[in-house]
Amino acid sequence: MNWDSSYVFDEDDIPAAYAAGAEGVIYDAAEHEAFLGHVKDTGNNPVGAEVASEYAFADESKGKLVIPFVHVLDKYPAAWPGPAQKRGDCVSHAVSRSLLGVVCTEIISGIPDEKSGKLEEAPEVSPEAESQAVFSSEALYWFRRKNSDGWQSSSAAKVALTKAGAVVRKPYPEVGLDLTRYSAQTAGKWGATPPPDEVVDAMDDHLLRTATSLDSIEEWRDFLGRGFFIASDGGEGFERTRDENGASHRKGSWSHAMCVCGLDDRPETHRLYGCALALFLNSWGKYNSGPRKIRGTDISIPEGSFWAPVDEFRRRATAFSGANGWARKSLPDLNPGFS
Amino acid sequence: MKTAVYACLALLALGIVGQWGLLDLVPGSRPLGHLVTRQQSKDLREFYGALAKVVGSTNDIATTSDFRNTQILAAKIMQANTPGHLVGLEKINGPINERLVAAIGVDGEVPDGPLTAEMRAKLQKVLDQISEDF
Repeated sequence: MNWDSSYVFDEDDIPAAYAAGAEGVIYDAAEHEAFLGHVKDTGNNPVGAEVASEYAFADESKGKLVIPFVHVLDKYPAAWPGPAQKRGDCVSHAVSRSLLGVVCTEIISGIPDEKSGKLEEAPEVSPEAESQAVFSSEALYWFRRKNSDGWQSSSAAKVALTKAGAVVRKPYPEVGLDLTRYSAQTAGKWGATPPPDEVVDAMDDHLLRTATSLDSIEEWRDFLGRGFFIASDGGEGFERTRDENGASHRKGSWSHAMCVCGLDDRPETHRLYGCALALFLNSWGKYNSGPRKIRGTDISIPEGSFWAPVDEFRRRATAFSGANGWARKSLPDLNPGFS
Repeated sequence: MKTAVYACLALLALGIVGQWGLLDLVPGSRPLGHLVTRQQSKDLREFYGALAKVVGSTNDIATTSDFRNTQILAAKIMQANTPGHLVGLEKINGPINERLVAAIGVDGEVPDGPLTAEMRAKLQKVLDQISEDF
């Protein structure tokens, strides 16, 4: 079964559509290879294990709770869960949420951008745009090169590297678009026919610098520990209720992409669940229920998210890093101006 | 920007004017003092000492931009109230700017944003040091 791309779903119907077999994720090996090739061609390494080893952060987060999502909520408290998708565009939602995570983490780090050398700041957005997850998912989705729904995260990553990266939700009058609010119709504005050059020009100011393909949960943990958010593709469904620790177990099947914004590898978590837990942020709005407080902390996971035991799924994953962000405004000087 | 800050600094400036007698045109000997006359040095020492205290107030100076504007306006007020006395001070602008930027800037740039507790402490320290060096 797949989506009727001419039909805009009610957000309440989306979980049922996935449960019934609608495919938000469609794996294309050639496209994935094209992504890997592009990353290599730009002088970066697309292999997660090698990157973690090369930059000496392999196992750095072993046994720890890593929750980089707090950086997003620090900058944009109302950003997540963000809008509920209304068509089969989960991949673009997962990737745009991951990009927001990367941008916020880079700002919080206080380290100047590796390319520009400038300190970066969070872009100013309207309250409405913040409630819509800050960055547009539609701009990514326009470059899927087909009109039908269903995509994969590595292909969306390649788009984020080359065409449309972190695109702030706001009006773009110069190209006749308003991306302030998520719109399934706008997401379908282009597909088989790509957006015209002027639209690309308006969307490519904040491209992603690189992305990495991850193969193991250990890589997920270590990349998240460094603030590199993850978009994951897979076929597992999960309960719509969370247990006392915010966890949901596998139930049914969804061909679905979700952002991964935390990982709990603490020994006590292994004792309780038999394995680590990964924190998935879904793109279905506030569709699930149950406690959200992270065990042993006063921190709550975002609405629309849940912890899942890592032994209960096997998902392809792409980690994002190095966004070309927004240069922090600087004062011209601190000259007292004596004459 | 808080009117109270300007009023405070204006009063300080007027106080400085009131203390003036004959100009002492001999340059001072301290790192910044040697750029100005001894009398100017004394007044600038008081000025920057007072500015360090004003920076300590989180209510009056909340951002780096607040600080920048306060320093500029206070300097103008002081000079406007000492015509013929506190003149020819352009040469101290550069050294003071360099010290302030080195204290709270990052890679030579001062972010336009909130003055964090850490930045505020650094700023107070460097203003006190500037005061001592006149």
